[in-house]
Amino acid sequence: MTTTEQSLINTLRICPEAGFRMLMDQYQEPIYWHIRRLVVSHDDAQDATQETFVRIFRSMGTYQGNGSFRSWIYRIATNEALRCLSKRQEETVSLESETTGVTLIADNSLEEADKLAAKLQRAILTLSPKQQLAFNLRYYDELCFSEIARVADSTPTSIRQSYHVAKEKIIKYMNQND
Amino acid sequence: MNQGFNFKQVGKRMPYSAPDGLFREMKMNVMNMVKDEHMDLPQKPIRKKATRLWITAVAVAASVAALWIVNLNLSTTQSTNGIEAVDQAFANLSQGDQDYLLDVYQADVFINN
Repeated sequence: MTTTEQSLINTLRICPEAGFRMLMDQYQEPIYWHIRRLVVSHDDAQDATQETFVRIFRSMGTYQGNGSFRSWIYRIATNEALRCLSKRQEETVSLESETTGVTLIADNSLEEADKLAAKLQRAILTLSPKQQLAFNLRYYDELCFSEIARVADSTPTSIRQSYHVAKEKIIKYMNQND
Repeated sequence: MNQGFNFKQVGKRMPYSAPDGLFREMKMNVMNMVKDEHMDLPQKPIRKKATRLWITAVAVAASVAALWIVNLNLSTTQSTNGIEAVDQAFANLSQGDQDYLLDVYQADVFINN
C-alpha cells in the first residue's frame, strides 16, 4: 500500500465523510475513463461510475487492507462495467467471455481530428474482455501486473500473457485496417 | 512482424471527451445517494498467522532474556554484598574471638566436606 493510500484510509477512519469525498476526488476521473473504455457509451459509463462509488461506500467495511486499495476500487469498477454490458446485451458478460459485444460507432461525440485514437479504441474493442482489461489497466492506468491480477481475480503470469497478446493483436489491427 | 504502428503516435489520447462539469455532477449525485447511509470503516490489516507467531516468539525470547539478565545481576550483587558483610563482621571481632572461631570450624565436618 502506498503512503497516499494509507493516508486516505486513515482519513476515512477518522472522518468518513471527508475521507469519502477525498476518495471521489482522487478516483472518479480515472474510474470513469476505465469504465468508459470498456462500455464506450458516456451515459452507461456515468451510471456505472456512480454505482461504483455507491458500492464502495456501502462495502468499505469489507476492505481488509490486504492488497492495494486501488486494485480493490478498480475491481468494483470493473464488475460494474461488466454488469452494465450484461444488462445492455441481455446476457452475461464476464472476463471469460470471448467478446464484450461493444463496437465504436462513429457519431458526433467522436473527435474528427483524432482518427488514429478512434482506430486504436476499435482495435482494443476487438479483444476479449480479459485482454481489454489487461491492456487498458497497464497502458492507460499504469497498474502493475500484480494489481491487475487482483482486479481480474487472476494471476500476474496470466495477466502478463494477456497483455502481450493484446498488444500484438492491436499492432496487427492498426497495421492492417484502414 | 511489421511494427509500423507505434503506440507513441497515440499515447493515452481518447477519441471522445467527457461533458463539462461531469465529475462535479457525479460527485453530487453519489453524495445524495448515500447521504442517509452509514459507512463502515475499512478494517485494519489482519496480520498473517506466521507473522503473528514470529512476533510472539521474538517477544517471548526477549522477555526471557531480559529476566535472565536481571536475575543474573541480582544474584551477583547479593553474593558480593553477603561476602563483604561477613568479612567485615569477622574483622570487627577481637583477635581472641577470631582465633576461637578458626579453631572451632577448622575441623567442622560440614564446612570442610
